[in-house]
Amino acid sequence: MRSLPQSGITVALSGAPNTGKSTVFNALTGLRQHTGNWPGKTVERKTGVYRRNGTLFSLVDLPGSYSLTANSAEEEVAREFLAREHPDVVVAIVDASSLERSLYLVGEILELGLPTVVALNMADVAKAAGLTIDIRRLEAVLGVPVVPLVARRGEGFLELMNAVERVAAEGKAKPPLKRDFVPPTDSLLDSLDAIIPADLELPYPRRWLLVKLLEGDPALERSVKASLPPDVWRHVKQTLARRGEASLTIAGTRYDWAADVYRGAVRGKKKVTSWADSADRLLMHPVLGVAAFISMVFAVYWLMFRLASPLQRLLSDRLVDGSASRVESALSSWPDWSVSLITDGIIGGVGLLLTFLPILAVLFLALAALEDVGYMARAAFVMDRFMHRIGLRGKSFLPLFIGWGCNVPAITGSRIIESRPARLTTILVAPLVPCSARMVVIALFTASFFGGAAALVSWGMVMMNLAVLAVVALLISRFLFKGEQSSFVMELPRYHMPNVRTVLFSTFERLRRFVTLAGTVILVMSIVVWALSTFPGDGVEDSFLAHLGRGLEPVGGLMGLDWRMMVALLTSFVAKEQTIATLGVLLGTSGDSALRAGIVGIMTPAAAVSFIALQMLFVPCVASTAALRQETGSWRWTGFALGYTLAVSFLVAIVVYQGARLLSLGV
Amino acid sequence: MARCLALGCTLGTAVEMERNEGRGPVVIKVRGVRVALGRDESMRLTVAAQELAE
Repeated sequence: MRSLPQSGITVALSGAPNTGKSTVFNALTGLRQHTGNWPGKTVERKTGVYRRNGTLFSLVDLPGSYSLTANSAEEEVAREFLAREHPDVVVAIVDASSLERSLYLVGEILELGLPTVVALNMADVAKAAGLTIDIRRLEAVLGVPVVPLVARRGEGFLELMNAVERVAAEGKAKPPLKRDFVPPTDSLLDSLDAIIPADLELPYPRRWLLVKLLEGDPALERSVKASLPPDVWRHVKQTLARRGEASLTIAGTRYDWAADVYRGAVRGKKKVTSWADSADRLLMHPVLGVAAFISMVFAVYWLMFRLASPLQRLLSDRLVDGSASRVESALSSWPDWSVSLITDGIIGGVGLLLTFLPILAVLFLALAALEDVGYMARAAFVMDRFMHRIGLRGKSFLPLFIGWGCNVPAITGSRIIESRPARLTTILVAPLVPCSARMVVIALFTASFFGGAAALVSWGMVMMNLAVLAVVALLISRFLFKGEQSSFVMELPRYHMPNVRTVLFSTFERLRRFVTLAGTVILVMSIVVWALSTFPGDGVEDSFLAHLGRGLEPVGGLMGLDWRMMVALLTSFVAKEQTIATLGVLLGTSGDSALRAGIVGIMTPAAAVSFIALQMLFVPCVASTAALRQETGSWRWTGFALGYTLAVSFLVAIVVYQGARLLSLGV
Repeated sequence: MARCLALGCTLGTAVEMERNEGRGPVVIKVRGVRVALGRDESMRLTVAAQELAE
């Protein structure tokens, strides 16, 4: 067909969520892409290259999908790639321990008539659960190669790629698997076939398209409508109006087929491991489950402050202070301003920020481990009741929880949510999830002002933050999307032992992003802040930045914040952690202890709490704003998110500070 | 509804109730896979009781 020699063999990895698709992709390409064990982690298709014996394979990791009907935005991505781009080979990754369910998608891929290899992943889990799978039998029934795989241990990849190469070499598309449906679905298909002209220019196999129309796929209905004359479309519409429960018949036919294939090839009955059952009795309990979740969050905070925070201070005192004074003495012959640029601007800004890596490492490790074990779906389950109250469903909890690391994947991760109002609400409140960059700022402030109680204060501030999130979500779903229903249907994946490689990869990848950001955007911004705070001369007090900051002092005064704090807040639009770098530059400090003393010197504890609230709720950073625009597809919703966060952050910070003053607390 | 179908709740399929607290979401087992269902969604499934063969 259209196989270009220079691009090698295009291989699409397709499979339901939790089948280990991303693990396979990572192992083959070495491209450190994020993997996780919650439904729908891969929100965009990712590509990578695998080379062997002079053959180049271009791998495309498609978003996880249970079927090829576009129920959510990310399932549409997977479907459209398979149907339109005609990859040379599709690797259908199935979970051997839930084979019957997995075969549904395989059936749909075979209906498309694409050259396919089935990768039977988690073959070890299936075996341990007491299942015997007859591979030859499976191959004979499906008519495609089937390769057992244990992706987590790297077993079976060689055999898999051999099969892929063999299928690609054959180069011929298989005839699509044709299904026969019972009346009246079969006659409806015939009528559609008669109405829709044969020369319809859409890149899908004809029968497949007709079946999908009967199933009620909204995206396909739109494309068919666009490519038909209005009167023909009216005809189609009339036929579709009679489809009734055709989608039930069609899905039923496919599952009957899957059950037949399963019975023919699998022996044994699946056992459930008892420890997983007891874990679920606790973790999914309506009360104990929520308590377990909250204690887990608290434990992570405790580790961040008890373990990582002292390490951060050590790094800062030893490395940052030390190198700053060494640079100062080494460059004593250089002009003053250039030494100031290096010690105050670069070391004081970026260098200090980098010492926060241990704190982030704890958070990222915890997130990666929770995802990998399969806990996230349980958390979504226990939170569904609560999420329901604020107009969202349990599924929204997954992207929001990921937002704890960074808001950008939270916003793009909302694609797993089926209904548009629920998805938009999730996107709009995602910037209120306290991300790791904000945690860094909060860690500095709470540790400076509250010493031993820092973890508790941070935790309290996070609770306040989540309360604001709940109120905003409630208001949005009550007033903006009144009466819209969304649903909650989600697979609960099996638990598995966290894979050290996967967890470390994911942690490393997130830390790398943080360091890259610090070394590029924040470096430039710190130099800009340094320049604006150094010129036109006569010290910081008379700089450009001081003039700008003083303009904001009337507002800052309501929150007990002086111009430096307002400038730090403004620069955090670039990235939340910029606040620390900016303060380092503005206070002329180049080490952690000096910075702590510096901020304690310019504000009261009440003002510090007010600033933490302000920083937590303030407008999303540039990267999040770009993600908001991309995922909402509208500047108006993006503007709405920026506007409400600005208003809410100032409002809450003013209330906190003025309230504390009235009660004479911490002033 | 479409999601339920894709996860295997088709006509005539045996489902097992695994967790039901009386309110809030429920967990069912269908085709060897555990699925969380919101309360409203679970209300819309029609099931007939049947004695387990075991």
